[in-house]
Amino acid sequence: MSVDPALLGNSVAVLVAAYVVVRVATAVIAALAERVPRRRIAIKMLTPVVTFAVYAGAAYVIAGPILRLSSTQVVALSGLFGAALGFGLRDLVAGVIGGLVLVTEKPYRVGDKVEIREHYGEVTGIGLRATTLTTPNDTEVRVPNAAVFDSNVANANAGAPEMLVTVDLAVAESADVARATDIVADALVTSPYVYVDDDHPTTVVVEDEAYYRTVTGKAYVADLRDEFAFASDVTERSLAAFEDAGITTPERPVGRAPDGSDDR
Amino acid sequence: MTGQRGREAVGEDAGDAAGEFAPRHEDDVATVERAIRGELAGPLAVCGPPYGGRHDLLEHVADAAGATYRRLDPGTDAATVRRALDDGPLVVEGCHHLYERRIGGFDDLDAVLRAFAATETPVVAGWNSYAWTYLAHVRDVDRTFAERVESTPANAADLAALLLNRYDDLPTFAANPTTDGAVTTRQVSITLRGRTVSVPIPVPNRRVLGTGLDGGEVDPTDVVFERLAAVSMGNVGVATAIWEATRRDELRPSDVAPAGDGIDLDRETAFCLRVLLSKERVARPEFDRLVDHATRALARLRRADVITVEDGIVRLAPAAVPTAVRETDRRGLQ
Repeated sequence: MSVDPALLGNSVAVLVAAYVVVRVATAVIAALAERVPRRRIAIKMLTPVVTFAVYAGAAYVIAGPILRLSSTQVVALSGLFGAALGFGLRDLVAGVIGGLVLVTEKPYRVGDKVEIREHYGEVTGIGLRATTLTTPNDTEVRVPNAAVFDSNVANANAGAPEMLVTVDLAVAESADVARATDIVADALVTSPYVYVDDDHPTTVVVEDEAYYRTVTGKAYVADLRDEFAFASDVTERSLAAFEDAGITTPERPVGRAPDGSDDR
Repeated sequence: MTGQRGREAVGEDAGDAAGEFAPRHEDDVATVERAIRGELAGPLAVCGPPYGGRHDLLEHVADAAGATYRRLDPGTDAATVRRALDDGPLVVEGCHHLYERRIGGFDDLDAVLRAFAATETPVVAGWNSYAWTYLAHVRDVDRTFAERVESTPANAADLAALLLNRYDDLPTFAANPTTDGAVTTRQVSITLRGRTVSVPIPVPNRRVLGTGLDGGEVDPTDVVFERLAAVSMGNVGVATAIWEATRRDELRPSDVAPAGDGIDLDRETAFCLRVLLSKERVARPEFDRLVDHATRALARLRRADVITVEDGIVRLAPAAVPTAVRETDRRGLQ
């Protein structure tokens, strides 16, 4: 089987052009999205769509001439493709199909906070083969798109810029829990990061533990990227207010493990 | 200001200086009057944006009805409001000064709301609408009030009538120069493989698009006031301040812009601005209790002509209200 050098050259040129277009488009979309924090996720949804569309277009342009092959060439190529698929490209194809599922079903989008296969972070890219997560420790984790078929995907915000954040604070058994609850409630709603409306309420829950009580505040942040800043802000101000109000935090009793069990 | 008929320029009063020019809305006034006469089932809330004429409306109606009028300032003791309830029908403006955005900062507000809920005295309370929305979500402030009146924005014709009648030396109104297109370019930094390059990308020209391109066959005067109504969100006080700041011999629609337009704020500065948008005037020490770097944040806002600081009171500049709304809304700040 002879290979037309011009056809090969055109194919390479189309692939390079597609790559450049995708990179530039992705960068422009990212830059525009960052200028509008409240619409960031909606704008970034365009990234995988553009990526798949451009590469699909490139594949069509390249495959068009190739598909005008003689029957012998088609048989030879099909056999080659089948073998490659079976032995080496199975995961790649699964990743690409997983990517198509991500684009159409949207279990998560670029900008969402998700947990996939024990990795938690912000989705910073959905590529042809894999999704990139950036963890809170600024580590990039690449998860194959095929994970969408066989793993649970926990999405904290489902495309919305707001996200529920939970803050746990422990107080001693003898502490004034009602006062502590008021303090945490105030800390939640006065934070610069909070987002409150009828659909995004704040709540404070008190739980009785083995030798202390947990006051848990739950509220939404306006921008999911403020998840940790919000938790830190609420914790810091609540603890300072606890101290001013004489609300003591628990000390582990002698002979007790951190989970409250007897460790003697 | 030269050529001005009537009253003092915007910003010289305690805060709501332009309010006197707010168009009267007979239904709203009638509702306030009914509340003062005790014909409502409970207190009445009157909400409006900063400098939208709330103070003037309430003072006017209180005077006419013979009710006690109290205007609250930053740091006003809540007990004065509760005591005033003993003096008969009460109109109190500036209830957004009864809270601070910190732990324990709602105590005065809660006490006053309890007093309002318990009293038989007719009460009309004026609120900044941004503070009202926030407090309705975090404090259920709306449940205390039987009814609420929201100020209606003025349209371009209202503004033209008010402002053209107010000044003798009017500018010449002109269309936008044709060189200002509907699309302009903005430099955007793009990082590709670790290298950052600045790329011009086409963006809509907001200043021109908001004015109907070059005005076409439309009277430039109308286009200027349409633009003013859009930029000021129909807020008469804000429109007056923008008019004063942009007035010149020849005025084009694209000249009409709020103070601080294009300012780029960090999170802390944006939060300070949102607090000011909600309270209009804030005692300087309050910011030290709210954010870590208040001095730096306020200095940035002052340099951009978004705020003024005088006698320990930080005030949102009337012409900067649209900027404050846009910059804080887009971040989802409340």
